[in-house]
Amino acid sequence: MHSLIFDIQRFSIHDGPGIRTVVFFKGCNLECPWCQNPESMAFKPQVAIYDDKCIDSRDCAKACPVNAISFDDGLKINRQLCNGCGKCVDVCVSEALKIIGKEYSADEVMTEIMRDVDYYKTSGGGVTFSGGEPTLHHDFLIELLERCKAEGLHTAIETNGYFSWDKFELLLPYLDLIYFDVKIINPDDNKLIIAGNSKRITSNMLRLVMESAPVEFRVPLIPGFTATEKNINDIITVLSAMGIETVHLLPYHSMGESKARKIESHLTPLNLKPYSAEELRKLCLKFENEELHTLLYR
Amino acid sequence: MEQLKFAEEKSTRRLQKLKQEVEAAPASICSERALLITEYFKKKENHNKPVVIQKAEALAHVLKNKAVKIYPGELIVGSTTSKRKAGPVYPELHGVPVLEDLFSFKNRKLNPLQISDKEKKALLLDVVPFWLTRFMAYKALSATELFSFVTDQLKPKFYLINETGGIGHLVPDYEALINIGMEGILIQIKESKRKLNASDEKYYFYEAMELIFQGVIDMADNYAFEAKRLAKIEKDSERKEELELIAQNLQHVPRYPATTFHEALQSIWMLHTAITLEGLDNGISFGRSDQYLYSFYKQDIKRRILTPSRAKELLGCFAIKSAEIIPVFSNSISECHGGFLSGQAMTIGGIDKNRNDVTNELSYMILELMDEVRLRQPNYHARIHPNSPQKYIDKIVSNLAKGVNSPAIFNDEVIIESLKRCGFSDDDAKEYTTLGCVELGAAGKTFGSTDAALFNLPVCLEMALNNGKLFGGIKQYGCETGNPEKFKAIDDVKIAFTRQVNFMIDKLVETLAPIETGNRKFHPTPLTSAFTQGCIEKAKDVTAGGAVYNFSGVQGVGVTDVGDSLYAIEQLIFVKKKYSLTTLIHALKTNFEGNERMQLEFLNAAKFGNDIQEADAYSVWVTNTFYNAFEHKKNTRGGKFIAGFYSTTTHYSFGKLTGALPNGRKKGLPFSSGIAPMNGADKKGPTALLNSLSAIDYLRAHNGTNVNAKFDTATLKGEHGKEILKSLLLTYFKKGGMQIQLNVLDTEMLKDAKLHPEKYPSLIVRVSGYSAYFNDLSDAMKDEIIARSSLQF
Repeated sequence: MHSLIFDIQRFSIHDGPGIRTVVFFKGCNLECPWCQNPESMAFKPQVAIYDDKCIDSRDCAKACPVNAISFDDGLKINRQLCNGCGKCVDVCVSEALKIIGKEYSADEVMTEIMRDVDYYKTSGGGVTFSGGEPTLHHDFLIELLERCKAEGLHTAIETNGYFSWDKFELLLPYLDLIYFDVKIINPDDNKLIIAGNSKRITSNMLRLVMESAPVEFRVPLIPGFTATEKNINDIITVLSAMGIETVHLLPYHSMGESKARKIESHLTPLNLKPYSAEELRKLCLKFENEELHTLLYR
Repeated sequence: MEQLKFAEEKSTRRLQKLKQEVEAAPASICSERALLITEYFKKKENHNKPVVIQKAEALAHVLKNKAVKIYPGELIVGSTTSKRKAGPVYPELHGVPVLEDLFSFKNRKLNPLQISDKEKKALLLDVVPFWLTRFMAYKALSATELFSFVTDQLKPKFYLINETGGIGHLVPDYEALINIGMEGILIQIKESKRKLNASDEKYYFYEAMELIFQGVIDMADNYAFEAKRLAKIEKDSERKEELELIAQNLQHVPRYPATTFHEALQSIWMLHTAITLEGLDNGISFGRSDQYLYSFYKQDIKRRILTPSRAKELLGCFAIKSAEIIPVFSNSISECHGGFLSGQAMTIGGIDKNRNDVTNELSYMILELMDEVRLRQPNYHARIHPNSPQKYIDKIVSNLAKGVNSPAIFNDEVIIESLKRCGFSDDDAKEYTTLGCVELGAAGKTFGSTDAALFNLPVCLEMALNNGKLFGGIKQYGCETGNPEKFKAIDDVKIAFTRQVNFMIDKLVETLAPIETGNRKFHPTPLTSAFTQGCIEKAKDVTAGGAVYNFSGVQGVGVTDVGDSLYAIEQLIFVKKKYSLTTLIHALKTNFEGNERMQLEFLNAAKFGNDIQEADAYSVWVTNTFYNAFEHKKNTRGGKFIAGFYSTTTHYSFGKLTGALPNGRKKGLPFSSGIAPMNGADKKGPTALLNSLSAIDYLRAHNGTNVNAKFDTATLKGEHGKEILKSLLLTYFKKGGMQIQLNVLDTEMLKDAKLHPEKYPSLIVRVSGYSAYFNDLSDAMKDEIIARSSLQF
């Protein structure tokens, strides 16, 4: 069995306890315009362009079997034609092209994971499956989780919550920690902004809470999208109703937008102004006033 | 309770004031030692005395006549110079080459040093002309040797010999000093001398010791006198008492055994200044201070004449004194050893002979002082082992997470085994101390000449690829290893490289020999010898092999540059056959000009530091080749040559003179520092880096290694951060790591990192939700991170 993975990041210390390795699956079923990992959205390999590194050898254009590469206006890839075969990346000596997404076998992923096993043990860390949306790689994920548990590793998942419960239930026995994104509560707004049915997400939240699953909720604070007065009130209402006590807050930053350009993502840069410390403090206070303890990521 | 708090606040104020004064004092050159030494040697009546007597009398002359200054608020007194923060000049050693830069010290960019016009004039008229034909290397070497030595060593290409500067890098037997006093040692000296008659050369050796001892005692008397004088005119009654106590201490120590904790520290400091003035002010280290001071501490606490906070205050005063010592390096040497490196190491923690942990209250006080008094010196080193107390490790990690950047950490398990393998007894290995930058030894028993030389490894690859010549050169520097165009496999390259390394190391050992003999003949160090076990018994100076343990330490520089180069050659030339070796050599000779594509391919080949075994194996092979080259090599003191891997800043100076390399590095650029990966080549984070580093066999790195990992404060803030640091540290040591320095950078340092990215190749910062290499970020992002690091919330 193979799955499309776009990065395996070691020494990750912000995606769960201790020192962790994060496995990023490729492909997502939502389309959040602020996505921090725009290269994770598509379900196929993509070629990213780092044009500052290009030495204009044009080897890539010669290697491309579908003639998708042109140099009329700098190095450009016709994304309609490109099938993500990666032949251009193989011949590029300057690392101006990088392939995003590679098929991994479970053995290959486990080998990478096990390289840092000693660090997990001394730091209380482990493995985090992220994406994209990892639950979309269900069978592969189950196999990895089984093997991680057999090695005694702590496991975490980062999900957008837009999954089918029947399948997710099968993952539960292997998961020590679930990071669940809470974005937009109102179904109409949700559909408009990020596609997908927010009712399904909300009901998955409820199920997890009812099952007493080890779940933690995370809210990306995106000005004008998730961080509107109304939506924040909705989030507070939902979380409070479920008896949740702590919420993680992830403020907007624009780091993802430069990555979007490299793969010529259809996402248009939001170019929003990041929150000031003062604004963040006020946002936190809104949650705190409703007795929701906040963990602010910076 | 109230009173206790008041005392603590006062102590903090004192330490902060002393610290600020030392920080504010300009780094200077002091001509005092040079003038006094010259005055002695110019006197005709001294010329016919045995060398060792001349040296002893000259040093005693300096000690007795040097300026005596006691600064406000000091509790430990004594200085090596007449200025607050300065370095003495050693005209009889490396002094003449150093003084060639007399006119540029003040305005040079790198480590400027202040000197008054009057002193400059005195040095130029009185000191330089006299020593021009008398300094050590001049006397030790024949005319042709000297010529090639000077031309080679002013801009060292193949190796840098440090021993011309005299001897340092040792830990005197301070434990004996405080327990039996100089008088106690003097009894041994007199006993040994009694059996000899005055015509015996050995007789003079002992007599020299006695003469210097008198000099040290005279110096202590001068300070006692000055303290008394100051006490008399002091208006503040508390300070008056302090000055009286200082005077009282110095009437007693270092001559007699210390009777209090305060006396023990004062005694060590007096001898430390004297030893610094005798040999070379480099790497003279304190040893395991928390151990030998502990009985004094306990006894004084029991007698109720000392409180823990007073003990800490005294330790702080002592530590601050060590930051007053600045080495005077010439411009060319500063390029090799930048940053006023003086390497006075202080070691804490570890195990004893019975494998018991020996961490005590003083270890913790010293850890607190690292944080509270952040100064350039001492070099704090902490030993750890599997049974180190949690509290001790937590305190170390908490210092690091705060950005104190001290202590550097040493792995007992690996180091003890390594020292046993190179000849230390089981007990001495367990009781080892660190010294200098990262080196090791048995305190008071070892003359390791740990910084004897540094060796340029990549230039040996350059010569292996050019039949013993430098690229573009016609001189046959190395040996003939055959026409490289005929090499058929990577093994041929490896064999040629090994032969060049062996050839150059033979040469190094050969060049070092007359310097060792020169130090012995012209620059014996009786005071250092009196405080190094073995010397009195054998009637032999440390420079002649008197110490119980004798070594010469040589550092390999540019390990991973060679390792990565060999891997790239293997992959691109012999496996993938993308280029011929001839094409590569041509490109190297022309510094990749017009071959940028090829350079990129070599640059992009896998590099050491990414946990890729096949690539790492080559750097491991380079370290083994370097170790092997020293097998069976002995110095003229009968000691073994031992290898280490740290470069101070020679990776920069050697790099400047070395051609392009197959790892994609262009001619003249710096090598990687110490045993680190190529600048910015480690892309998989610290766990991968540490895995790569632990592939190296440190049991053979008897002279020590230096590993550095850097983070920003935001990455490692709070309890979470401490746990991460602890995990990295403990796991690396479990995997066989030898030493590690974990740096957490504050705002100022991050600003520096933005200006000088080359100084911080693997600095990891927290961006937002993830960590990234600082150098990979845009200027705007860097600014954001700098701004964030100064926010306190």
